[in-house]
Amino acid sequence: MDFSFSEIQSEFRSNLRRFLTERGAHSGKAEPREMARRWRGPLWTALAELGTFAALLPEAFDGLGGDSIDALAILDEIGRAGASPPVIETAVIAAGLLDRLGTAAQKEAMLPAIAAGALKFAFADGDILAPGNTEPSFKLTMRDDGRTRLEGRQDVVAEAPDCDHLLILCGGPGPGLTLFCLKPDYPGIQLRPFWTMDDRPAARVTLEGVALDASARIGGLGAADEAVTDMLDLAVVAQCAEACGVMASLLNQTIAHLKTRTQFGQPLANFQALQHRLVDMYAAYELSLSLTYKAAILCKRPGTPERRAAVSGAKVQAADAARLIGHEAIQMHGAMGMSLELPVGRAVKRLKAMEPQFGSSAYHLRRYRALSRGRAA
Amino acid sequence: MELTLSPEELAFKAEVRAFLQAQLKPEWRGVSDIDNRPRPDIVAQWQAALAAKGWLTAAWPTAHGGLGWTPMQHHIFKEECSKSRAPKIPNMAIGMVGPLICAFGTPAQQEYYLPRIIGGADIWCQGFSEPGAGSDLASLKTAARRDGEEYVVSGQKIWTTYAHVATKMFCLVRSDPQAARPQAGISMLLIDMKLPGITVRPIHTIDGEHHFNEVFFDEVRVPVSCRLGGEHKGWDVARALLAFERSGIADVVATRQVLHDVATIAAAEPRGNATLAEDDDFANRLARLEIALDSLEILELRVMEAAARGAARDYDASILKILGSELKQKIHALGIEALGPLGAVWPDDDAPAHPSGAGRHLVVDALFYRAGSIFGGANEIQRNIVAKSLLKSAAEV
Repeated sequence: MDFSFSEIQSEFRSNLRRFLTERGAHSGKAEPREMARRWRGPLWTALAELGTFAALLPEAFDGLGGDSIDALAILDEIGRAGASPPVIETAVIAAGLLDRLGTAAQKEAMLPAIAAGALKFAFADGDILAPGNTEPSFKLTMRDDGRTRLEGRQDVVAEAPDCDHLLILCGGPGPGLTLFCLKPDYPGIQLRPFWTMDDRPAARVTLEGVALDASARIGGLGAADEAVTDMLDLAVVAQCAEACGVMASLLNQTIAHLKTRTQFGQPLANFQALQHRLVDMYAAYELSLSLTYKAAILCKRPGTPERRAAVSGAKVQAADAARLIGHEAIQMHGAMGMSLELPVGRAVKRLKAMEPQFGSSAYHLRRYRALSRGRAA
Repeated sequence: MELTLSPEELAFKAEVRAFLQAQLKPEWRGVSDIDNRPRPDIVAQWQAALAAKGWLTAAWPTAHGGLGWTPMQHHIFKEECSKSRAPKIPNMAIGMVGPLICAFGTPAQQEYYLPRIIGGADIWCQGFSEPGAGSDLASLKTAARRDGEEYVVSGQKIWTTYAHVATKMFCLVRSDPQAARPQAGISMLLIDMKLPGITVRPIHTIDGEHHFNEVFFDEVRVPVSCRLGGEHKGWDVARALLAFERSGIADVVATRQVLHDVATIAAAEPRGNATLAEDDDFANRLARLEIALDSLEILELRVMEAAARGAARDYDASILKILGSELKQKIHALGIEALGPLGAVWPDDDAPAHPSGAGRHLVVDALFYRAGSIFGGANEIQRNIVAKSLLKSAAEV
C-alpha cells in the first residue's frame, strides 16, 4: 500500500509547479483567451522542453515511459495552476492511441514529435460516450469505387480549431470502431470554431464525403474499441486529477479569503456556519482525490471490471465534488466570487466545462452500475 | 503508488484469516451485527480466544502486551474480523480504559486492572456526558470532594452506555471547582459500580432498546487510589483517548454490508413488471452511495498509510468519523425507503417481514444509528476540529 509519489515524480512535480507559477497561469493579467493561445504556442513548447509530454510517452519514441501516476501528477499541477494546455488530448489520448494502434511508420512520424511539443491533437470521438449513444456520429461507408468515405457531425470537439491532427472515431460499415488521423484542412472537413466557457478553443466538426485511403487509418478496420476504451479510461483519470487540482486551488483560495476578509469586526473564519461548510468542501475533495488515486493505480494495468468501475466512480465523485466546491467557493467569496478578475470564477468554469467531457456523470454512473460489485441484483 | 499489500502484510492477512477460520465458531458470527446489543456470554469466549493468541491487546503499549503492529496491520485485522462478522470486542475496556491505564496508571493499578480487562472480569462504562455537559464536556459538574484518602462523589452522568450491566466506570469528575480554566479542575476516577450511593436508571431510545442510562452519585466514597493520572489532570487523560485509534473509524466493511442488504431488498421489491433495483432513479441513488463508500475505503487506507509514514494529520480521524457516520445514515435511509410500507412496521416477531429477509433489523438499526453522528464527539464538534486546523494551518491543501 503506497499513496506517495516516487522521488523522480516528486521532483518533476515541483519543477512543473515552479514553471507553472512563474509563467503566470493565473497570476498574469493576460486576457483568458490570449492565455489560451499562449498555452498552445510558446508555453506549449516550454512545457515540452520541461519534459512534460516525454514523461507520458514510451521510451522507444523519445519518451520516459511514464504511466497513469505520472499523468495524475502532471494534471493535478496543471489544475492547481489554472493553466490550460491541452495535455490530455495530445499526450494522453492521441499518444496512447497511436502507440497502441499505429503502424511503426505512424508512430515514428508522430510520437517523437509529440514529445518535442511539435504536434497537437484533437479527438473527435463522435459523442460515443453521450448517454443513449451506442455508436459514434461519424460513419464510415464503402463506395462503389472501393474507397471509403467518412460522414457525420459532432457539435463540440475540444481543441479542434488549433490542432495539427484530428483523430476521428467512426463506426461502420461492419462492427467495431475505426480510428482515422487527418489534418483539419483535409478536403471534406469543415470546422466551425468557437470558445468553451472556460476559454478554450473548440469547434463543430462536420465531415461530408471525406475520401480516405488506408494511410490515414490508425489500426485495423473496426479494431479500435478496446484501445479507445482504455485511453478514455486514462483520460478520465487525468481529467479527475486536473479537477482535484482545481478543487485544491479553490479550497486554498477560499481558506485565504475566510482568514483575511473581515465583516462585523472579525474575520469570516470565525463564523461557524462558514467553518462547517468549508469542512464539507474539504471532505468532498478528499473523497474525490481518493477514488482518483485508486483509478490511477488500477490504470497502470490492463482493463478489468474493477478498474473500469473505479474510473467511472472517480468521474461521478469528481463531478459531485466539483459542483459542491465550485458553488460554495463562489458563495463564500461573496460578490467578489462573481468577478472575472478573481481566479475563483475561472476555476469554477473550468470544472463545469470538464463535466460533459469523456463521458458525463450520467454516462459513468450507468457504467458503474453495470460493473458494481455491491449490488445483489 | 500501489494498492497492493506487501508480502509481509499478505502473510499477516492470511494468518488472521486462518485464525478466524479455526477459532470463530459459526454461531458467534453476526452476533454484533445489530449495533450495540451486547451478548456478553459470546463476547467473553471470543475475547478469551483472542487473548490466548495475544491479539486482544495488540494496540496496547508493547510493555503491556501490545504487539507493535503497523497501522496497516491493525486495519487488516479489523477488516478481516468485520468481514467474517466476528463479535465486536467491548471497546470501552480494550480500546479505551485499558490503554489509558497502561499510559497513566500506577504500577498497582496496572497490576490489578489490566489482567481483569484482558480476562473480561469487568464490563466497563464511560462516565463522561452529563445533563449540562455534552459537546461542552469540560463544563461537567459531578463533584469529587477530597476527604482524606477518599473522594466523595456527588452528581449525575447521562447517556451512559451499558451502565446497567457495568461493574466499573471510568469517570470524569470535578475535583477542583476553583480552577482557573474548567479543564484544569477535572480528575479521572475508576469507580466500582457496586459502591453505595450509585443509582442507575434506564433511558429507552427510539430503536426500542436499552443502551443508555442515567447514573446518579449520592455521596459515593471512592478511594483516592482509584484516581487515574494526577489530581486535576483528568482532562489530559481523557484527551489521550483521541490519539489511540485511527483504524476502523469509518467502519467501511460494516457499511458495505448494509449497502448490500439495501440492494438485496431492492432486488426483491417489485415495481410493475420489474424490481426496485432496476428502477433508474433508485439504482442511481444507490450507486452514488456505493461510489462514496468506495472513495471512503481508499481515504481510510490513505490515512493508515500516512500514519505509517509519520504523516498523519491531527484531523484525519475527524474526517473519517464525519464521512463514515453520515454515509451509513444515508444508506440506512435509502434502505428504509426501499422497504416501502414495511419500512414503517415495527419488526416484532409477528409483524410482516420483507421477502428478501434483509429488512428485519434495518428499521431498528437505522433508528439506533441516528446516534452515529452524535456519539464519540458529535459531528459538529468534529467539523469544528477540522475547520480549526484548516484555518489555522499555513500549509496548503
